Amino acid sequence: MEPSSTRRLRWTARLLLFVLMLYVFLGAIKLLGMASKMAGAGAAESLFSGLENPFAGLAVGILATALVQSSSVTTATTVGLVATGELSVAHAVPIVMGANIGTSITCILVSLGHITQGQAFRRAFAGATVHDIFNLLTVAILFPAEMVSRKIFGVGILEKGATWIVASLPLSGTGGEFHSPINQSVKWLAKAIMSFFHDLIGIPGDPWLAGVLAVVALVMIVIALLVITKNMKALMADRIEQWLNRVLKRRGALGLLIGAVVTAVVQSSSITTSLLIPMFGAGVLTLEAGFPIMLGANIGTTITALLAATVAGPAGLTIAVVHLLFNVSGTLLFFPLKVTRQIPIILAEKLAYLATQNRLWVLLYVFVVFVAIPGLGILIWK
Amino acid sequence: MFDWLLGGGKANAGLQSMRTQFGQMLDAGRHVFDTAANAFLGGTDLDVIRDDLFATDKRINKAERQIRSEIVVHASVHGATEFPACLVLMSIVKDAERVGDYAKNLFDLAELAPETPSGEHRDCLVNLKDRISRMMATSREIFDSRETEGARELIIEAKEIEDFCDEKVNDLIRGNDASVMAPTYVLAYRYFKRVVSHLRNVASSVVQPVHKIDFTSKIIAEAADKENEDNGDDSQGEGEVVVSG
Repeated sequence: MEPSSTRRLRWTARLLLFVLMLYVFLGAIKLLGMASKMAGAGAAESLFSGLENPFAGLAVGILATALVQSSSVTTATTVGLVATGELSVAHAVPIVMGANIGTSITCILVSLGHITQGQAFRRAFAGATVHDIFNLLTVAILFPAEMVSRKIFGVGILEKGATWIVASLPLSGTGGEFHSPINQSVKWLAKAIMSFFHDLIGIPGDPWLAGVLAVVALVMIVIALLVITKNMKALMADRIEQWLNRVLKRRGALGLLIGAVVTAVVQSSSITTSLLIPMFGAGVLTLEAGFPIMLGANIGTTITALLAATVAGPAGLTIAVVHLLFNVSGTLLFFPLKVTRQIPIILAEKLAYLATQNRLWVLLYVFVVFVAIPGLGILIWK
Repeated sequence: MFDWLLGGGKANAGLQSMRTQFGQMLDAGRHVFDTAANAFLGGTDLDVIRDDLFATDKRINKAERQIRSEIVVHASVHGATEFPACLVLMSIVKDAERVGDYAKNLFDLAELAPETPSGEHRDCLVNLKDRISRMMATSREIFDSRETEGARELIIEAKEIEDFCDEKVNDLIRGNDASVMAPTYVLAYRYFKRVVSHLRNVASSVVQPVHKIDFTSKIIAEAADKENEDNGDDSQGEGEVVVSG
């Protein structure tokens, strides 16, 4: 057995790696903001003009997240763009809603590993889709509520709530930036990268440099989050296992708490929820016990956007808080009462039953959720 | 705080917890076996021990289900590197549960038997009971310590007992004992043999690769060859001259 001193050394190294990657992540957010500003108002306008259509924003959130299989990448990127003022909070709200839907594709893919296993597939697929169905139902309620309230009051309810929360916080700095030591050190990293490409490599100024920096920033975000999630999962595996064992037979708020904490620590709701799929498949975790964990994962994942917002200023923090409010609201809508809690569970079970009768239902479901809904919405709006 | 975050400071705490629970299953299995065997051999009042025996068996069954759940969680969290350890546990936890079941069968036999065992068969079964009870304690130690030499010795002793029980069953079936207790003795030897077989499987998990757990004929054959060699060396040493070349 490995000596405890070696173990501690290894774990310390992992913690340091986490801190380093967090720094890289925040630097990438800062860099993205700088690239966006460098590109100029014209470029941003042409890039984001389509997002005046909220269904387009929803579609961007769904598809971008499904492609990279990480809602954290999508929401962090959104925070970075909102921070520069090039993307408004109002236009960003549907993107973060879409990110919630897109992230569930990971679970669906994992559940397909059981596709030849009859009842195991039925249980696994139900577990994968209960998360998605919950997100769809939440968007079905809060998306129109946000749009209607914006139409009537000039600002959506989630945006209004987030703005009020941010305004109440004792934040240092004015005019769109936080003057914190973290912000300053992260700014240094972003400037160093910009200087590397401009002065050393010799890439000419905007728009070329802006484009290169944007790509570099996105790559940095993806890599940093990937390393963070893998690293933290390895670091916390034993504790995560203990918590999941504790919650296997329970159906209440403990699952919510564990889902939130695990996800906040590993910085990925996909990791938390996809860990549950084999347990659903094996039947050791029921939908009733696993559903609260998934709700908790939704809430826990908002920490990434909040972290990104620490270097993004009040506007970035507002959209990060919108993300948090959206997920908390969804939980409050469906979790407290048994009758509402059962709705996504029953729908998921029915869908899983159909999928075991005919696997084409799986394809149909993926097509409807990830292609048809966003596409139809865009067409109707137009 | 650091230790708490990392799961209590011990690496692979989940697997260790399951192994501890399995060890407790073996201990409980020993208790159930001793209780049932004593009842069968006439040392105990059946009514007094019935509740305790069935409650312990229930605990063994519950532990099996608990370990199986935890195996799924462990494999999900830790991934493919932990599969072999999980598969081993999944296999041997069944063996520990079956020990409890056969002990319960022995108790049922005690209730149904027309008489209390007596004579040569009683002496035989008492001797077997003591050996098997000791083997249960040994199998727990071997499992905890992963001691391969001890595991091999247990496997060989188990095979001895299994062969002995088979011999006794064959004699009884051939009608060499026409007493009213013959069917009871057949079942008793059978149950003892099955308990020992399951202990052999547990020991095999210490020395065999995953795909060969429960398969110990090679180990037994190697031990027999070694014994023949030793016997051959001993007989040479007693004065027999071997001319080489």
